[in-house]
Amino acid sequence: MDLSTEQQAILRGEKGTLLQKCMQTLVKYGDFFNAQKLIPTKSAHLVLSGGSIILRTYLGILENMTAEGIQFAVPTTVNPRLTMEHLGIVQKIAQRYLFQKDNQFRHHFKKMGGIETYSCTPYLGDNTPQQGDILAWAESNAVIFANSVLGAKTNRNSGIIDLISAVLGVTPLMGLLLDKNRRANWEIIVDAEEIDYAVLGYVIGEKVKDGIPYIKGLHSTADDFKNMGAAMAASGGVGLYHIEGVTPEAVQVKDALLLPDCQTLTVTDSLLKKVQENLGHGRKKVKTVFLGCPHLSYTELVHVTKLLEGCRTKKGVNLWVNSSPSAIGKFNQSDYFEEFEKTGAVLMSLCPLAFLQLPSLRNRWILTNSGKLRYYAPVYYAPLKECLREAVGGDING
Amino acid sequence: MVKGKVIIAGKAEGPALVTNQPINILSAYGKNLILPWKTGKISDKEHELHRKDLRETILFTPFSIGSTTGGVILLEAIRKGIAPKGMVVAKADTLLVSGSILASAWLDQGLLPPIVECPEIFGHVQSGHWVKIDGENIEIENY
Repeated sequence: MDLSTEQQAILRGEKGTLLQKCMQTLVKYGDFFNAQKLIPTKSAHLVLSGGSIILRTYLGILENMTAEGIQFAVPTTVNPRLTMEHLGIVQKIAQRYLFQKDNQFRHHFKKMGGIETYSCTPYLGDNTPQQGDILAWAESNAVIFANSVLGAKTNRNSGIIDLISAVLGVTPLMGLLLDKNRRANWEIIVDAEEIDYAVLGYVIGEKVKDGIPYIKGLHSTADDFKNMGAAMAASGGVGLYHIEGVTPEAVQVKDALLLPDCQTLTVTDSLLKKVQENLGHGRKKVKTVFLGCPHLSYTELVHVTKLLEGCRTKKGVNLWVNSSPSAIGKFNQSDYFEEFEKTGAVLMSLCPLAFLQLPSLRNRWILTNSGKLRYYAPVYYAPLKECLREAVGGDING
Repeated sequence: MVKGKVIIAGKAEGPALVTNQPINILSAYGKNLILPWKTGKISDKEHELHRKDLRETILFTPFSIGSTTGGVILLEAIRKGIAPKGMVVAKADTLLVSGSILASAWLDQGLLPPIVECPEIFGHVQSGHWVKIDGENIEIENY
């Protein structure tokens, strides 16, 4: 690999053994994929996963970094924490054990100059990249959104690699950072009247696995694509998709983005319906409705409020609405907040994947509109409106 | 004997366990890392190897998918001693390679299972075959 004078100096250990080890790791990572050089990044986004005790090595590296006074080289945002609010008593005990490192993670992250956004949707305002920006992000839903909808460029970086890249401010030039690797090897024809985006993402991920789909027949908003991409990056390993006439590269390059030997999948109403039923199969009752994996945007919070206007959650059913601290901050100041409060729904700002690791009876019979959450946790899937109807035990607006 | 590309160098032998389904590392091992005891049973209910313990096997899987915590989870699974004895993948992806490189850099070398990229061997190897990995060399014994 062709390294700059400064990078070579770090590799020789002139800035300490820890940064040397970080540089060695990043160079090895790039070498494996035949990267020719390390290039500067605009920003970083870290997973950290709420201070889970699982991440011992991650925490150890962070501790060593702050001990040496190392700072992030680029603006760095971070995934949600698992706060104590809204937890039952058993869950609080479990949280104290399983996420006991939360305060330490937070302390080190702040000390290194991290921006405390605590959301899995940095791309909605906290840390929004421009088209063409080179990033070294982790968080599968953020990676796929930044690449696809915003036209920024990032690989699906792992935890710890995210931290190392944030500290060094560089990433190996390889994979999805190179235009030649951003062409689609799957053509997805959506021939359906009623599109459930989470289910569509789930279907595409399962089918194309690590491929790049070029999707035809979609005309929707970023919020729908957010839910779709998150599912695609859970049931598959997709880091980039294109939507004909919608996403920036598809608008610029058009059909030439499709590789000549691509495979084709046609998605019909009946396929979507079948998978939707499978993902909700086995549901007998609902105790909790969980929305917001990934975190809902401000627009989605308003949309949910409008759908629920004049309704109230059924006795014995929780409606948990999960969004980023910044979107909730804006929502709290808006005219919709008062209406939302009347519905009995609860606003929160945690990571549902982390939350559902806590053992508790309250974790049974959960319904969600998230394809991603459905993949990772023992929950049942239903589209948004059905989730809300279950929560209020009757009709909603629309 | 087939030659692959080394991701983690090392030696191991054991029965092959072959799946054509990619592995979601977080979903496969996340829960096991929380448990106070050791189990190598795959906890991903969406995977065909669900509930199979892979600790004594050489796992053959196309590549890894899913959450970007995957690399860290692989590293911690290796640290805890619940990862497969060895792994062969058809196509090395960023998460699997990261996890492997991080494990090589931050864990005791004695803990590391050999991991090799070798597309050629898929289609020849079957579950139950005795497989030996030594660096870049993969040998199927009773093939």
